[in-house]
Order: sequence, then C-alpha cells, then structure tokens
Amino acid sequence: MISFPELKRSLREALVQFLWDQWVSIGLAGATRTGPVPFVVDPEALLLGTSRFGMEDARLAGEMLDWLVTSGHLLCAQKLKSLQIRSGLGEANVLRAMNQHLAERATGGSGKLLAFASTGPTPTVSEIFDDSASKDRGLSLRPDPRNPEAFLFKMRSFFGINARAEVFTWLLLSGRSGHPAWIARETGWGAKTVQVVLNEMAESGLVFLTEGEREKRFRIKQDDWQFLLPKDDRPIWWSQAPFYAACLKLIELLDVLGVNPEASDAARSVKIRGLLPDVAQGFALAKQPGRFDEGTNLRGAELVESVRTESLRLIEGIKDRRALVSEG
Amino acid sequence: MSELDQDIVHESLILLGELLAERRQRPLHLVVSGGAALLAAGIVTRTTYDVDVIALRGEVDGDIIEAHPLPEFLKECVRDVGEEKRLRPNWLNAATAMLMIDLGRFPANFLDDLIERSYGDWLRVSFIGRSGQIYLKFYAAVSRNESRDLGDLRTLAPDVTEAEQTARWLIAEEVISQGQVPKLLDLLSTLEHHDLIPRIEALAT
Repeated sequence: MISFPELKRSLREALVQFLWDQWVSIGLAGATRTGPVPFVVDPEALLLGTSRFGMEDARLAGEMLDWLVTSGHLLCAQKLKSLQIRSGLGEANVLRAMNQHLAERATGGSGKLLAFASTGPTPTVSEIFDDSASKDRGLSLRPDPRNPEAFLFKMRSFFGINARAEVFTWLLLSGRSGHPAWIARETGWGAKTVQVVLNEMAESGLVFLTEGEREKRFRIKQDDWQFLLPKDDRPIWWSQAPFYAACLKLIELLDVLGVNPEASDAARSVKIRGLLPDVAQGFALAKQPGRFDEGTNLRGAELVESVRTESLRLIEGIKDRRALVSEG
Repeated sequence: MSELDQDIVHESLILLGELLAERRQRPLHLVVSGGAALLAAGIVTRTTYDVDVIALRGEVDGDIIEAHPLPEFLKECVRDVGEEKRLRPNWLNAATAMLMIDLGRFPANFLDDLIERSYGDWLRVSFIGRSGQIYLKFYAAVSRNESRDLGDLRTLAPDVTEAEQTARWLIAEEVISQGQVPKLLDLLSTLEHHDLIPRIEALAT
C-alpha cells in the first residue's frame, strides 16, 4: 500500500511534469512535452503554481527564469499580485528571489513583474534553486499565438495586457453567458475590475447583457468571433489557479497524514475529517466537483483508503490532462 | 448515536490517548466511575451512555483534582473521537463530578482497588473498583430513581460487612438526609440485608 509521503511525492512529480508541459507550450526551452495541454495556459497561475510546486526541479526553475527574462513583459503584474493576495498560491520566498533575479537581469516590464513580492528578507536565486538556475541561457521563445495553449497571449497582444483580454477570452471560449463574479473567479481578476470592464464592453454593442430575475449576465455572439480561433484545434478555457490552490490543500493534508507513520487509521481519519471539507471545496471551486467529496460519511480505514484512492485518481488525471478539463 | 459497550469504551480511549499524544499538551490521568468503570472491572456487561470522569489525578503526586471543567484540549479530542466513533460529542464528560459530593468525604478505602489502565503515554485512567462502586451506587440508589443503580448494586452484591460500612458512612457523614433514611432501609431490604436494618435505623435516630 502506498504511503502518504510517497503519495505526496507522486502528486508533486505529476504536477511538476504538468507545469513543464505548460511552460514548453508557451515557448520554454529545453524539454519536450510528455503530454497534451488541452487548455489555454494562464501564465500568472502557472508562474505562481511553479513557485509552489516546481522548485525541486532546478532545471524547470532555471528555464522558467530564462523565459521570464525574455517574455515576462507578456504577464500582468497587477493580476499576479491580486491572484497571490487572494490565493496565497505562490511561495513567498521563491517569489522574492525571482523578483531579485528579474530586477537584475530583465529589462522593461519583466524587471518589475514581481515587485509586489519584494517585502521581507530576500534570498538569492542560488539560495533557493540550484546554481544552474541563475544562468540565463536565452533559449526561450516567445509564445506562438497560433497555438491554442497560447491563445491568451494572442488576445493580450491584441487587446493589451489587462483584464479586458481575459474577460473577452472567457466570453469567447466558455460558450455561455457569465455573471461578473463567476468570470472574475475563473479569470483570476478582481470582481470590481471585471464588472467595470463588462459594463464598458456592453456599451460597444458587441457584448450583450441578459438580465435574469436576480443577476445580470454578459455574453457575446460566438459566431461573430470565430475568425479569432485557430482553425483546427479550438482552445479550451480551464481555470487553473483554483486547481493549484486545491492541490496545495491536498498536499497539506498528505503532509499531516505522513507525519506519524505509526498513526492508527482512526487517528488519521480524525485528521482527514478536519481538513477534507476544505480540500473538497477547493476542487469544487476548481470545477472538479467529484473529487474528495465522498468521504464525509466514511470513518476509520475506509476514509483513509478513500483519500488514498482519490489522490491516486487525481494523479492519473493530472497525467492524463484531458480528464481534468472534462471533469467540470 | 451508539451506546458504549466494553469494546467501544476501550477503542475510544485508545484513540483518545493517541490524539492526546499528538497534541503533546500534558499527560492526563482520569478517574472514571459509573458504567464505564463497571465494564472495565468486568462487573457488568450492559452498555453505558457515557464515560463519567469524577476526578483528575496529579501526574507527579497522584493528588485528586476536581474534574470539572475538563481541560479544553481534552474536550476537543473527546469531540473528535465522538465524531470518528459516531458517539455523542460528550461521550466522556465530567457532569457527574459536578453533581457528586466532594471526593474527600468518601471513606479511605474508596480508592483502594482502582483498576489502572494506560492508553499510550499521555492518558492514564483509573477506573473506580468494586469497593468504590458500592459506595457510589448506594449513594446513587438512595438519592435518585434510576433502575440501573439498583440493578448494578444487585450485580455488585455487597456482603453484609460492605453494606453496613456503606450505610453507616452515608448516615454518619450526613451524605444523605434524614428524609432519605427510609429509602436506605428499603434498599438494604431489597439487597436482603434484613439483619442490618435495626442497627442502621438506630444509628439514624
């Protein structure tokens, strides 16, 4: 039977590979993909997620820094800050070290991308990562706007690096109308910002307002905008920050369960019951509603086993990728 | 919600000991009476509603310490065990300690035959043994009307010496009122210690 520390290690490995493949899909050098990335990459969520889960892989850290030096200006500092404040997803020490590195090496927008993380003692990149991480190789490429994974970069190049690009992308790809609060949650922008953008867009006559009994929803006519989409491979919207946040909660649970290898199933079950609702809620917010939600009536060994089984199913989902996108 | 039989009491205390060990706040030594103690002593096989903590003991000197209120960290662990084992949230409580007479008023042999059990390094339990249970059950049977008190006393089957010692203590220490003496005499009769009745009656007047 797989132990909880082993389970945590497997989950982290699957996440690291998941992050690698996303970075490669938007131009990171030095690796080939191991699996598909069947969704539009959210680069700010990817950066924060990598700072949390990817730092044991020095090569990933190094290549990410290399990419950020050349293409970091395509990311939005305001969204990064807001996402980090709301989710706490990024690892603060790592972000500070990255900020220091970018401030020294990058020019223009890239250099100030992580300025929000600069408070507190700043470790150097080589203190956090391997020495090799601090050597910029300059091999990373800009995201290719023709790739469905890089669709958001295409929209940013067109609309500007702001909430408007993402709100429009959501309206185009989600295939439904949306309440500003939903869109805010899915895009990682603040609700007020999204509300203002939608109201302005509605004044153009190209975004429509549907007033239901209790709430306003916004939509576009999908058919009018098909020319923006790649011909063969339609991009898919899948909100990534809530997924990473849910994985982080699960890793915290696996950490707790791994502390005492001699603990009885009943004692582990008590721990699980305290933390599992948060994990299940995290995955529900990440549009993975079936995950970790069957444990509430279980006790003892059955509950412990269900966490093991669900964790393994999640790891398989992360490896498979398409399963994650189709869950919601 | 489950009632507690001997196995559930044992499993629940083992889990409680494990959770307390993880907390590492301080080792606890509980003194337990009631049905759980009767089960631990193998005197009865019936189920019980809860585990009655009547005192705590000092870990160093064994001093008796008031049980009520139980330490907050213990109550939290009790709630966790209750949830896990599908028991009442307060399956282990100190409610009896609040209602009971001061333990210092019991005779010296009240704590003589405690049954000591350890549930890991952070929880010890002293279950009140047979002699202590006789005092408690006599007192309970006279002070309240619950059939299980009489049933437990019948099972304990105090001999004439034990019954007389207990009845004398109840009167001499004024643990019961004058108005409760007839009930005590009825109890002695029910337990078939008819010979004791005149002596106890004389003591009470």
